[in-house]
Amino acid sequence: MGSEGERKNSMSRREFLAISAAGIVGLAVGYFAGRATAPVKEVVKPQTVTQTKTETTTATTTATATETLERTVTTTETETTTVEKEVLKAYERVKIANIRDLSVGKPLQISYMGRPIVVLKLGEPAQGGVGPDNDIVAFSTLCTHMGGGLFYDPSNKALVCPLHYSVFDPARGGMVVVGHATEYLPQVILEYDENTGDIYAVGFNRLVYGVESNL
Amino acid sequence: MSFRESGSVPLPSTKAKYYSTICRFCNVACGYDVYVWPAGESGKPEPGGHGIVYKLIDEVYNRRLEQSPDFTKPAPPLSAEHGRPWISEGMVVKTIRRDWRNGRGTGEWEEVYVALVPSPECPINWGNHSIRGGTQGADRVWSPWTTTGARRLKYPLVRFGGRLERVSWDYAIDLIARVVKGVIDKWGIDRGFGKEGHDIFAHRADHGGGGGGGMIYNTTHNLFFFVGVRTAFARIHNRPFFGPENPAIGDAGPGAMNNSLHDLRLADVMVFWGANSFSTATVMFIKHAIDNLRGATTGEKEKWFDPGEPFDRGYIIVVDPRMSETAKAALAAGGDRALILRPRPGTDIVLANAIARVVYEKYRSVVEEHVNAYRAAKSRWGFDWDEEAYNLYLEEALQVGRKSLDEVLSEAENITGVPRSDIEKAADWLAQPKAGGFPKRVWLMYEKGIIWNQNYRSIYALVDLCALTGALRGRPGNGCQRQGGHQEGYAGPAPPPPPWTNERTHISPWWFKEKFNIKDYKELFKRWMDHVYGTYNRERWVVADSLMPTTDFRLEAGQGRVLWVSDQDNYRLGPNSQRLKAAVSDRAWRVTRYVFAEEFAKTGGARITERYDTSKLTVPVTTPVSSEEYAARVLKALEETGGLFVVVQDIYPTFIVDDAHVVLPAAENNGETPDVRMSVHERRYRIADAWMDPPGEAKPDWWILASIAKRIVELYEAEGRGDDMVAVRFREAFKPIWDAMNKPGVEVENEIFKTYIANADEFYSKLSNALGYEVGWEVQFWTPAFKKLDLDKLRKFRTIGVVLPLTEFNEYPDGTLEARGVVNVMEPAVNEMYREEVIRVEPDGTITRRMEIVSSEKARGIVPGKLWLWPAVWSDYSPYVKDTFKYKYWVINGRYNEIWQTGYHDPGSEPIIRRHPYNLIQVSPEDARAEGLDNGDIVLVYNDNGSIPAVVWVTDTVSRGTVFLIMAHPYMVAANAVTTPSVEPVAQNPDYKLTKANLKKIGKLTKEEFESITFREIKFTVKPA
Repeated sequence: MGSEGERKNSMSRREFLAISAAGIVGLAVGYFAGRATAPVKEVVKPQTVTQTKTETTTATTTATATETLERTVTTTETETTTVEKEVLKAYERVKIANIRDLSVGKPLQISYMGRPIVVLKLGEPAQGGVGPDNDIVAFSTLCTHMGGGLFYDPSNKALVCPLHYSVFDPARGGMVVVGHATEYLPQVILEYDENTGDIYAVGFNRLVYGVESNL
Repeated sequence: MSFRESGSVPLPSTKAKYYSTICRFCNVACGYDVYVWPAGESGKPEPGGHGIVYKLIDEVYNRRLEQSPDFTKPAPPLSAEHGRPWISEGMVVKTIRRDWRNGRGTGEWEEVYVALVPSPECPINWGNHSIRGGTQGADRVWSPWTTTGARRLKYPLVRFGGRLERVSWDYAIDLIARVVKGVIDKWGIDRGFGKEGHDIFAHRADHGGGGGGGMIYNTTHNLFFFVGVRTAFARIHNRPFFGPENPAIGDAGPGAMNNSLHDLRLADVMVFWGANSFSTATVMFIKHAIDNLRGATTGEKEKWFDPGEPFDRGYIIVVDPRMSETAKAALAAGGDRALILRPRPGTDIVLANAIARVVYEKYRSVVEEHVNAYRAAKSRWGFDWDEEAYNLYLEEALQVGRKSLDEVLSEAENITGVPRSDIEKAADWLAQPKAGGFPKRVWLMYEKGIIWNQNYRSIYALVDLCALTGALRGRPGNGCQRQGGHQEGYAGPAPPPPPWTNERTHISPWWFKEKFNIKDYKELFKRWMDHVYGTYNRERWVVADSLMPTTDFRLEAGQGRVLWVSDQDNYRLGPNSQRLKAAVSDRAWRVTRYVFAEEFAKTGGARITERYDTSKLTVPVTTPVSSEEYAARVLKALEETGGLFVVVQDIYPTFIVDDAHVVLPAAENNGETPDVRMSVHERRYRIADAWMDPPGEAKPDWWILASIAKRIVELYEAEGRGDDMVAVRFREAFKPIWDAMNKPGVEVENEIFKTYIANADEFYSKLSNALGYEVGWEVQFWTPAFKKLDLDKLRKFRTIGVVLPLTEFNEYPDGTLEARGVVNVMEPAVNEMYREEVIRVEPDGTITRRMEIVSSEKARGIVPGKLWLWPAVWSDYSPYVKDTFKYKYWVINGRYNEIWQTGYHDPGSEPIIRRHPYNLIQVSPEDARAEGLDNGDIVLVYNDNGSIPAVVWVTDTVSRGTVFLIMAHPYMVAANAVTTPSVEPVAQNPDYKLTKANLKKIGKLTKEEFESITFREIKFTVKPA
């Protein structure tokens, strides 16, 4: 990669933002890997991605953004009514479960940001695991091969795709045990509130099947 | 830079340039669409807002993809099959490429995005992919910002004083040319063709996939080594000699590639024998076999089966000593329609013959119906069915008239360990007629479990079983062939025979029959068995080696003076490779020491004294030297030391580079130079186009060989010996390439294709005239219709390609192209009509694919004309294998799905190398308990042939008494540390699968290491919780 100066000259704004996002997620992953067996105290902050949009009408721009996250930065009145807006896109912080809802061997199928996920209490420490035993994890349930809906196999503590039999290990960050997925299963980044036992989803660490961008 | 873990990927912009290619890895040859566009740009998700568009009407599979995909909504499962691919983070990379506006590789470097997207249009993969192919974009395309780019060889290297250092191409080319010429001049053997360079040993890939090129790669290597150098001592790909991998099925008639995926989809019964296709032919298995097993192809069956013939979802039989991934997937998808047979290693011949005997006894009328079809073809159009060989097979292999069915079955159960009831069940599935008396449509595939396990006899046993069950009748749903490792794309002049004979062949019974003029088949069988197998058992000497010589064992025994390794790494992939490395390394360093510091080699063993010998510090080290001086010293070293001059031509620094004198950086034969090759399962022939420039000063293999050939000729001319036969051979072989290289704007690869491949008949006839002797040649499945092909036309067929053998290639005035090819080569051989695949490319790029039923008269001249059965019998293991019987565990070896043909690239693929950082050994739960082993323990696997550490993975994939090692790990030798020198004495292919070893615990992974990888069971059958 070139120097910062070259970057500004040669890259579009959009690409620069994509790189920024990669940097942030990379940090989060490093944090997770180191944390597999450490006591859980810290909280991961939600990642945010800022994106500039140029639209010819304000109406369509508003429609694509989440109301609470949208903020208009500049409005330029011109003859063609071009409006420049800076739209803040971010993973949402959503309470997805309480620790009392979870038990080993009983997967919880829910959705997060409109995408199906599974919340698992594995009964063994896991990469990115939260909770008192560092064993609560959540993953997208769409296979990163061709989108099959994954099943959780409690006897093997693995997620299995019924279409072409890719198998993922939820204790190892969604690593492919065997199969065809080019990516580890996207893991939902979790936060745990020690006082209430609430579990929050704050983002995905990889691209979820079916979309070109998670946001 | 990859887009991994960024949560988004860019779509190809509307400015994206399109190229079509084939996955660079396995036999399946999935089609990939390649897009290259300016970095920083991203297409819009709306149809037409990006650079992806499909134009396919596939009438065979009833698929119409005539749209620009809509990326505005999330893709549903399997949407790639319907023309809406999901581009994963593993499919895109940011890299640099030259500006190609004025021709490939001509302009300045520019930043680009490259996406390799599994092609929804391709009739093989329908947008599906394996983990290997699917990671080609991010991990296999070099980029200045990825490990893959950092690892590539970029400049020629020559060893100076012990180190490899960068030199100019001129230096490297001159050095090699002088050594090659010197060796031929000094030690060449002249028997009427000019001096032949038999002291130059060529180790080279032969294949497409695995980064190994195809017809262009093979042609140029064959021109160099077999016409120019004229050496008989070559090694091809995975075996220690240069010859076929499947001679038995060739000798039998059908050849190793005879049917199609269309047939697989139509089969009533599918047999996978010694083929772990889930892992090693992934998309063929998970798409087509599983579709059939689940009933997704019943509509196709209804269309292609006879009127009134029952059709249903298929049955599957998997034969493997392991409960392999394939076996587990078959059970998960097929339930009670899956049968798993697990013979003891090496007993497959007995099992096949026992199943065949049951079929023959219980379903005689079915066998008669099939055999009558071969007989009718004989009487009606002269198809060469050998009735006498059939009878010999019944008597010798099936023991008809010698032993009762009961005796055969109990013997088979004892030897193979497969329950008698399962043997009978397999026979029932294969031969019990369907309702209405219709015979089953049987389809069988085998691979390394057979090929690397007493090759010739094992394959023949299966071919015989296929003939008996009708799998070789060529009807829709029939097939009997290899699975394949790599893709195929063999072409070029034939290798010469060894210096002591004028023949180059394996010792088939049919060759033996002619050679010794034996009329009686029983006598032939007895004498041939004794000549080949008897000699091997008595003397451990492979008789066939005198007709088709090995290189590996000869190198170990001190033969050869130059070892040229192109696109392979024998230190990992040679049989019994520790011995090979020890020999080659020692001999290579004798040359190095002689050239640079002969005196140092004599230093050592001095006593510890108060003063050391200071005179040793003034020993001169010969450096720097000119290429001419270097070559002269090498030639002296070869004469005086028994050493070996080692040249390596590759894209990465392989293990053997440690000992090489010259390292030549090659362009990867996928994406950096175009080549042509075919899928193994239906001979689908396509271009793997170039869309990148090679890194640094790396050059295509053809450029390297043509340049060295040119220098050799110049050296002869400089000595006034331009008319020496050696110079003439090189000149006549390479002149068309040199001419093309001198024409600006000409795509040299296309000229090579047109001259040597499409018009091979004319070129080799001219070459023979010029050289004054007959130059044999082969272009796989070449037919006269080939003459109309060129690379630009093949580009228009994108990932659909054409099917070989071609019966017609038509060009219409409006620019429409039409290719016609045979779907199943046994169909015209034994039937009146056959299926012809017709592919048309309209001027607007729309491709239509359909099948027509055509009179077999049209294709009879280009398809197999015979079916010769031959008895395969087995009584014991080879002597080298029996040597290992003092050890406890059978070491089954094979591949993991994630690492298969990809090992050389995998250190650059973060998700794959994180999954497999260690050499794993699968151990059964029972053996683990007995040995006190657990997941993550480190064991030494050892026998008399070598040893290798491995990390224990306890799994029910292996049964008690067997362990499983990967054939080659990216970082280490793996299974070949403990394989034996045993080869099958007819086919000379190694018995890699047959060796035993012991385990000894030497440690365990640290907690951190243990927690970085997964030890979960391979388990597919799961119900929703």
